[in-house]
Amino acid sequence: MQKFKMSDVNHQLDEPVLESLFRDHFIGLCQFAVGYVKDEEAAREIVQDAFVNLWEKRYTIDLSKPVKSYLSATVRNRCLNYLRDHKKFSCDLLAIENFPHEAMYDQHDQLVESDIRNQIARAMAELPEKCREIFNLSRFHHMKYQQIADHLNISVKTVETQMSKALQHMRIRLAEYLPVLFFFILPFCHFASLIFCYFAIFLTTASG
Amino acid sequence: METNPTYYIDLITRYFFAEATPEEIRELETWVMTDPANATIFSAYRKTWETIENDRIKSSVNLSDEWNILVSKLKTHDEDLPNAPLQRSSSQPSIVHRPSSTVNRQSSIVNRQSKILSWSLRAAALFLLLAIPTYFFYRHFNAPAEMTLTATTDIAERTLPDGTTVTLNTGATMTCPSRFEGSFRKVTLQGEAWFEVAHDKTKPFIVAAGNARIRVVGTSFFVNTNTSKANEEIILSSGIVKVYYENNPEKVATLYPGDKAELYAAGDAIIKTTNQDVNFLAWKTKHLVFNNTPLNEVAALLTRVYHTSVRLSDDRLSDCRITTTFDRQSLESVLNVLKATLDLQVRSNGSGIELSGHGCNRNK
Repeated sequence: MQKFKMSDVNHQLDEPVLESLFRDHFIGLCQFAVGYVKDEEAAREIVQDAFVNLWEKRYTIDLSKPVKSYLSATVRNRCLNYLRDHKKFSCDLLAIENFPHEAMYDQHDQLVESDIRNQIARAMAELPEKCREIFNLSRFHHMKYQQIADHLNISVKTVETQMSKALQHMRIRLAEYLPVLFFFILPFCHFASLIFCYFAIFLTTASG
Repeated sequence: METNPTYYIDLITRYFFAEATPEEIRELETWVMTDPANATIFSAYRKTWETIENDRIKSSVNLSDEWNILVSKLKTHDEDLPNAPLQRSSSQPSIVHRPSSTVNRQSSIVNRQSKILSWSLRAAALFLLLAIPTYFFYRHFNAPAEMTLTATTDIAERTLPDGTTVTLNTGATMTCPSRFEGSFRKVTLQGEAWFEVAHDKTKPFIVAAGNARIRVVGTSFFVNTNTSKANEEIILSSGIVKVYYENNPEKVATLYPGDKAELYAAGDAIIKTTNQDVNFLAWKTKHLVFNNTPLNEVAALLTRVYHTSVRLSDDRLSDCRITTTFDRQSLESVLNVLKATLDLQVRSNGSGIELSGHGCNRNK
């Protein structure tokens, strides 16, 4: 299958092109959507629907603009609708989470990614067994706190404590990898302030 | 609402795992908006969660399955989606755009080349601008990753990168860099810990506990940051330890084996005495020595060593005294000995163990 770059897609959108777009962007868009809705099932549904929408509008949308932006915008709007419908939407929320306006996935470095994966696995292995079990039930089996509590016959409070313990541990163990992501994800316009900041630090170090 | 120190961490966790109610989300928002420090914590958790989540999605999503789901959705939405789309792609109704798009494509090649050049120039410039200060930044802060060791349910024994062994009592937390760089080895501690520091004269080992600093070159000592009277208590077992406050490094107290120092959060007093407590390390060694020890002290020590609350039902029981030694015994067998010697009843309930009896009114 031929790989299509965004800029090559602006001629026609047929099924091979759609499939190529889908394979290139589905995962990234899911990650983007999960950032908003915090629910993988919902995120997958939203992204699926965004592709259905793209297909339905294939003759009318302006294909001279990157399809990725179109998809990102569709996914974003649908995520906001989802949050609104579940009464979880508010402007402050968007401000505190500082969401990117577009899915940023294709800038990830493969090497960094596998590093991060190893680091996650290592950090998970360090968790006490019970704590890891609880965390995995939540992560891989999509169980809610209450379901985990019922499943393991423990209190919801214990689940909550273990979950936040696990997340705290992951935060500390992943800390050294996060700045890398930060560099990649940071919107371009912020670079100027970052450089300024770096120079300020540089000057203080040099003088000190 | 801050009755529990991990309250907001729990809330953040609940938020990211979609457990938070709309009210809780609003509460979290307020918390994040009120203090930039809170926002920093929140964003660190957000990045952590995002990293974990992205990795999981990447490994759990099966693209072929998802594509099939999409195709079946498209079929219900769009009857004319072909079963063999490749053969029909030439008849797609986009002929209208064809001529102009060919022209566009040629001009865009030239465009793209100059674009690539200008972008790579920009990228190179950016790289230099970022790389140079970053290099100095990291060199200055000498920032190897920080490790945090926490003993949650049992005592934890770890060997640090320099060969030093640390034993943390339950509840203790220690942070140290993943490798020791620079001219000293520095760790921070909260709670009780026993250090056996690997000897390295060129790189002193420093324990930071609150404002107190303990500086050694190679020795073993015990630190407790949460005693009832003092804020930090240091008991030395071998070698020499120097103790001082961070804000007053000129005033140094030197401890020799058997010495004990108490430091306080407020003020700059360092109280140096001889250690009287033979059981200061019992939580690690499980070696308990009682020499005419009142029962209330025995109960307090058992609580500390076995992490099970041991209480006396009646204060008068404190009159009972005991002289004996236990070495690596289970709590149960210790209690059995106490029960037999002092004629006590041992009752275990949900929150711990209660000792009762009719006291030992020897003095009255």
